[in-house]
Amino acid sequence: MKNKTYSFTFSLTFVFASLLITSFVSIILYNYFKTSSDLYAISKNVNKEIRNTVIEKTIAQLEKVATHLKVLCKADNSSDILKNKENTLKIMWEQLNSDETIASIFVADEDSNFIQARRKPAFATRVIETYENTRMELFEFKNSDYTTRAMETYISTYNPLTRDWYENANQKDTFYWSGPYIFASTGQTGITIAYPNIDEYGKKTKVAAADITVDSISDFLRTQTKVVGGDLILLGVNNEVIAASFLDKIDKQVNGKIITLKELPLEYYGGFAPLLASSPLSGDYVDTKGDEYIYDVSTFPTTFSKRWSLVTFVKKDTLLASVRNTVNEMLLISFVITVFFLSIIFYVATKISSPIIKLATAMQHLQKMNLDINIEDNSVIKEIKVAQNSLMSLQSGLESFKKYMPSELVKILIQTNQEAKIGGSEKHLAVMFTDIESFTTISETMSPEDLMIHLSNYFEELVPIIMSHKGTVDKYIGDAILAFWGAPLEIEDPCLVAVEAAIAMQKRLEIMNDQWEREGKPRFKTRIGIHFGPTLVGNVGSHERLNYTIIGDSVNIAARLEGINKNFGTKIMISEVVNTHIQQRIATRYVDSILLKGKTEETKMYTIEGV
Amino acid sequence: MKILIWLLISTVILMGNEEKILKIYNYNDYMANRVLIKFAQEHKVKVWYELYENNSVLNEKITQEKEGFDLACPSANFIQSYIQKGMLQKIDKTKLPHFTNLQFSILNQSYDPENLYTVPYFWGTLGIIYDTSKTKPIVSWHDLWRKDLQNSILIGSDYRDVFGFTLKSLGYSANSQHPDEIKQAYEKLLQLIPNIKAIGSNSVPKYFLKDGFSVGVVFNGDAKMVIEQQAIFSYVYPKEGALKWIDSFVLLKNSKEPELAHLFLDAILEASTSAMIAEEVGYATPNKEAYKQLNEKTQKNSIIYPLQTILDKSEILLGVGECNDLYKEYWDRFTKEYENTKKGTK
Repeated sequence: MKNKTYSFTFSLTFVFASLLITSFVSIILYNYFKTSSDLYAISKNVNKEIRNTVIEKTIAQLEKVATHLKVLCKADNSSDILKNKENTLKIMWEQLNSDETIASIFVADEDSNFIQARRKPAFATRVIETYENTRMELFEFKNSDYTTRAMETYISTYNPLTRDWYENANQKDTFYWSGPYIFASTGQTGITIAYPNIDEYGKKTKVAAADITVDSISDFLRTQTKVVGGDLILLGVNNEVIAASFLDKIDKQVNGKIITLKELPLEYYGGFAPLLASSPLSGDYVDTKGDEYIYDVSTFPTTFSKRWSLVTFVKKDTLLASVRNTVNEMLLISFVITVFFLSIIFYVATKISSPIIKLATAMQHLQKMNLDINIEDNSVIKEIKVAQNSLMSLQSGLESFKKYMPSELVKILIQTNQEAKIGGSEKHLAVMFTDIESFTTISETMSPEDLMIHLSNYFEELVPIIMSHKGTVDKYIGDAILAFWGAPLEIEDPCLVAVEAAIAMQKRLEIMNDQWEREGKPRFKTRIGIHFGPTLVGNVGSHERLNYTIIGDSVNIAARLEGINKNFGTKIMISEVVNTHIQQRIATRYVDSILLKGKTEETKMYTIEGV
Repeated sequence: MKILIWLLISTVILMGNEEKILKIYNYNDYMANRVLIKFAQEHKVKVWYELYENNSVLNEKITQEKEGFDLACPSANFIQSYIQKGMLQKIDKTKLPHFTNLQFSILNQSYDPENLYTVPYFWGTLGIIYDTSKTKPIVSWHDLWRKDLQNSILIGSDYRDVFGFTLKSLGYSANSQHPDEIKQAYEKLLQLIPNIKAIGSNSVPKYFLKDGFSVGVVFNGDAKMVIEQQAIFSYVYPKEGALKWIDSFVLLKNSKEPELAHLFLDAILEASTSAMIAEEVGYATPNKEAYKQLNEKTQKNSIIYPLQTILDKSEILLGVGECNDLYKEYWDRFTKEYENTKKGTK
């Protein structure tokens, strides 16, 4: 399995970006959910209080009117309401003026006499009494100071005794509360409260009642929408919409009857009715448009005669709007910070990785034994600097090492990831042996130091020629060089290359000798012998110290050939086998034949023409 | 289309069934409600009875000709111009068998010499009422300008009444048609402003019984009501002469129910009905048969029925022809001045 690798900059940036984004997202998410649930809780509490306030206000409002009715009955202890009608009307008038929710207040006795003070369509008092066996109605339209503006009188068709409020109250001993309905006279929503007066003998003598508008509750609910964060609906026992914060925006009656919850338009919780019937008193409601609401229901206390209920709807979006805004802001801020940080991280990562990348590149070069590279040591990071320095040492070490070992060998060792081991193999190699004529004589004329320098210069000129011709220098033996072609690198036509190298060496030496002579240094006449044959090549020595070297007859023959130059005054002597390999390309000349040591047949020797 | 036909049919049915409405326009506190109820009951009609505070309001409303009232009850000074403008219908006395109940002396006044248009309803006087415990005796119109009466007087909102007593205080006729005299009256009226506490003609007794007013220029009916409850008040006929007025019912030209109106007029001329109204309203009835049915206390009440000598000295408010506009103009200037002064002192 191959491990996937990533660039340093990418890894570093990726890690930091992941960390940053993860932490930001975690914080934002935590914040969002925590704040949301807190908000839900706060909103629930606030709304509960508001619902209770509305309920209390409504009850107080209605019960205040109930008290008015008692007062009205007690103020006139006569069973004939007409006896004190002026006084009764004055009280009614005061009550009407003291409380805007009273649309009308009225009293009827058993003789179906009727007295009323009403607010709409105009302030008026109304008396129905029997005159000459005819029930006559007298309206007095009033100015705000109770002075009369106009009167109207006609035969009445109204009989209070057949009215719901009278009949119901008369059957009870206490207050009768009607359900909510639409007042025919004004179109307002309201209820009627009726109170039966019972005299000291326990006899019901008259019924006082009042029409109370609840439209003002809608007004009040509307003022609470901001606090609640949504709409409020006051529902009757049969889910009639008695009041709602949005009631001014819709038709509050259907066929003259008060609109019920399920008749509400869909955009105003029309779909809520089934949920209310089946569900607990709070929960989630999704309308047809997909808007989500949290609803809560509070029921009127049992002390109140009607089990009305008040529902609040809070749109989740509205509730969470501020949180969402905050989240959006946080996201934006996080994004900006992340981008800012990432650019810093990218810059730092680049700064750190650039020397590491250069190091890696340098190492790759070293692996290929390309030692001629520039390694920087400019990193400010200690560890990288150490690595740079080590690599530089390695570079110079390899540089030196290369001088002791054939660099190709080292390259092979490095590239094949092998350790040098004792052992060798027989290969057909071209073996070259060189020697300087009369070196001993020359050496006696020079100081050892000058000699070493001169000799070194000599090697300096020749060895590169061998190496550039892909030859391997085995060793220096005094002034002699042993070199071979065909190992460790397999090369094509080793003999030809070896001979070409020999020619190049001799040519170079001509030039150098002239120069040395001008410098007053002695000339070196070099003789070269080249043979080609099976040769043992490999690592020889102890485990601590190995030599990559060749052993065998070929070496001796090459040395022999070199020595024979002396007899024929030639500079390069090659064996017959070498000649066979190169004679198509290089002009050679037969010199002689000799019987080589250990051979039964003579070997022909050739020299190179023109050298 | 069907709906339209139904609408048409139901409208026709409704119109056919529509009960008749008699529309009456009258002063406030000037009728017994039972009379209206009785009339509606007897004739199975609806009675619409609207009230006004003073003749100016009446004048404005019926000259606009929109209201469609059948009957109204203006004071004598308006009648001549209404007749001249053709705003009234003649009254068919053959339909008023009780017309003969009216006393002769009230009939055939200069503004309607043959009583072709008017049926006298009530007459009375305009005098001064004052709290004898708080105020030094008042004997003349001129006394109203006394310094000790600062911010204590109620005057009415009818400009002819107010100019009437001011002209009287200057020794002129209350019906003066001399611009110079009217101007003098206006200037004198301005001097009365510091003494005026209120201008109003609605629920006049309340000002004295509830609101603590001690002096007022009031009709005798209102004075009677106050004095019946607070004997400390006194009603005086100023020595320059009181103002006398006569209010009469007229049949308006735009009446939709003239038959019903005649029925109503006859009903209130009937002695017992007329007496009932007179007892309730507290003014002097011109109905001699009704007078006989009044209780003795009322008959002998000198506030309602003053001595002949006092009546001889008093003057009936009559029409002033073209000068009427001058009166109105001065009145407007006066009320503006009055309101500004009141605002300033507040």
